[in-house]
Amino acid sequence: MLSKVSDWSLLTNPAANDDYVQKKIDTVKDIVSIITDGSHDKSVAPLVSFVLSDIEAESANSKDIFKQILSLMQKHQPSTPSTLTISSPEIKLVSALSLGEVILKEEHGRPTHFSHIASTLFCSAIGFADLTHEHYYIKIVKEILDLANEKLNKISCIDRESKPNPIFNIEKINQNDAPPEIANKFKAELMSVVAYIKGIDIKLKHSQEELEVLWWLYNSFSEVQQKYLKDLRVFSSAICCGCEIGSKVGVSAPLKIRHLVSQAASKDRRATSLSQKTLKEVIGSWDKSTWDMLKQNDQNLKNLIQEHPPLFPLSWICQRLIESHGTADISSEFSVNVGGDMGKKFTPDIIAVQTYNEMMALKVWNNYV
Amino acid sequence: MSSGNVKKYKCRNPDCTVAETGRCLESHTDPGACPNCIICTDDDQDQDAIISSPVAGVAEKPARRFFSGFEIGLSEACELMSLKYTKLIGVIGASGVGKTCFLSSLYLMMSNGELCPDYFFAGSMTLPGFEDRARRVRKWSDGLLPGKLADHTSLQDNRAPAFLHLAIYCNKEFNKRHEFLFSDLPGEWTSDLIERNEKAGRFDFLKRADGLIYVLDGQALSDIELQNLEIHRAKLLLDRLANAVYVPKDIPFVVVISKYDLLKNCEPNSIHDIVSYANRLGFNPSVSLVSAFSSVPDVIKSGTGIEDVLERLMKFKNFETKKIVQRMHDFCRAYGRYLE
Repeated sequence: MLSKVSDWSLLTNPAANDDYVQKKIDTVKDIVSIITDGSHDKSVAPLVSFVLSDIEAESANSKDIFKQILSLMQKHQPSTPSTLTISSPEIKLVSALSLGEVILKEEHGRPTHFSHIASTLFCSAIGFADLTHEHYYIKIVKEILDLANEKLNKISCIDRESKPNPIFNIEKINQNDAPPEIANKFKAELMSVVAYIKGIDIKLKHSQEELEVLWWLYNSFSEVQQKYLKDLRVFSSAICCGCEIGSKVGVSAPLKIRHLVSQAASKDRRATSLSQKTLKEVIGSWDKSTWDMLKQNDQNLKNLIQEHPPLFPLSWICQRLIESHGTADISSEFSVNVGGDMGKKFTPDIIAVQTYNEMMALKVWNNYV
Repeated sequence: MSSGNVKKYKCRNPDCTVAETGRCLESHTDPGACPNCIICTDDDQDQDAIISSPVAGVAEKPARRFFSGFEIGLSEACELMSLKYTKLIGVIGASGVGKTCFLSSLYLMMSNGELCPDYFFAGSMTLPGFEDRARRVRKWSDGLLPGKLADHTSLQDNRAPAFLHLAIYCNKEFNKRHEFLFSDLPGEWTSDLIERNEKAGRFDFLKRADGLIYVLDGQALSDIELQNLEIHRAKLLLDRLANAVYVPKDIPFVVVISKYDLLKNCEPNSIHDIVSYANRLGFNPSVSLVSAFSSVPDVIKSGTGIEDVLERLMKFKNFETKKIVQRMHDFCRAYGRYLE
């Protein structure tokens, strides 16, 4: 992403010179090193939030990260005003560059866990992000989205790649050799055999996951609601698709699962029932069993959703509905905590993919942090 | 007593005159107490080296500036853009086509509430600049507008662009506030760009533009003797914008045909040639007929077309959720084969 500093700096400085660009690069390097030094695992979420949301940081962690970003900006560029807020393009620019750099981070040819967390959180947050007018900023967001998808795809492919079969090497060992020589040759191949068996185990797990997803899609039957999808209300069915498929696949699921989720949400439905509805209407069509599907029991995940509503908008809505027993004024709380308005329209497939993305982001987070 | 023992004050800050006046720029009663002050005698050998060392505590901090309010330079524009997303709109066109008249008309209509209820005036950091540009329009003689409506635009620094700031509340978007920076450049800049490719550097700021307004003289485009030259120059300019300035091609691009009141209510045919050429270059221009200050207000009202241009500039491509999902699906399909 550092190669993009010059391009992206145009957002706030149409006449960015080499000195300006170099200082921006230094700032971004420092921010990335703070985030990925191991002691700040939880700082990736605020960073995603700064990029995609205008909501002021509420949690202590977010405020702390914001202060650190601002102080690093002022260290490298003392003319940076202290009046910057998280909705200021300058903060968004630096956060976007740092996030891109975190997503790009790799070790031994494999994206790091920071990259994995950042990519899934970004895909989860972008679904409801209010990005309608800031033309130039949208270009930046699009580039990060492509990068995040590419990294998720790479993680998925690495987990599924075939490893060379060591059995052929073992077969080549001449049985007429002296036993110590045979033992030495076999010992040399032993670690490859162990790695190969582990690989088979992982592959079996992935195959099993994908088989379960395919059976679920074939049956079109919600195991949680104990009803066929076509018998559920269209937007409840969308939540079912996202949640149940999300719970069946592992953290390195192939990207095409999203496409299957989207298809499942529209299967066996009339075109009229698939029309766009406002978020207010969508939430109105849910019952308690739908809220429960997005409910998280783990306290860490609950805190994460509470601290960063823009990253998990649907999960946050359900959490609020459950906490308030359905009495919360979601419309006003949504604009304050998530941003945007509830008048925005969505189709069932979008809600399904959004639910799936949120599930995956929470899963990945729980897996690493 | 030797002259070598006489104390002299010198300062690392080049703006400080303590050496000549004995007064510290930072108002220290004893200049020696200032961290930038160097007390030296005539015997000191390394005075120059000491003086050339960096000034304490002021590295990179901008000097105190006095903002005239007539126009905004690039540095002020950067300050504004770093605090709030600001839509930078490039206004280009040859001398005398009506760029300044267009901006004056927009300002007058906006401040007079003539674009209500859709748009409301939300302030401007360059009110004196707008007022100065609209000054001539306020001078009427015998009920007629003056022959020349705006002074020729000249810049304080002729190498850097200047901008006029206008903030607008948009009623259609729940009174969302939009900040606009309109470039106000002398017509010679455009003429120079048409004639010489090397002048493209001056327009670098357009790489960041959120919209572009190209003002063409409607009268010249309708004149049989002048229209071919106008078309040729317009095509050259479009070429330069696409291939030398590298203006983004997905931004709203409005071709303004000025002086509509003098066109006898008909659009010049030659504009289609220019628009199709722009399309070939990858732009997606729309045409607006504008009469900033009409000479026949009974037939064509002053300010005709201004709101239309504003509407077109506000139509930034939306990045809706549906498109995000589509983008994700496209990506899945593209990589699906690789996965299998």
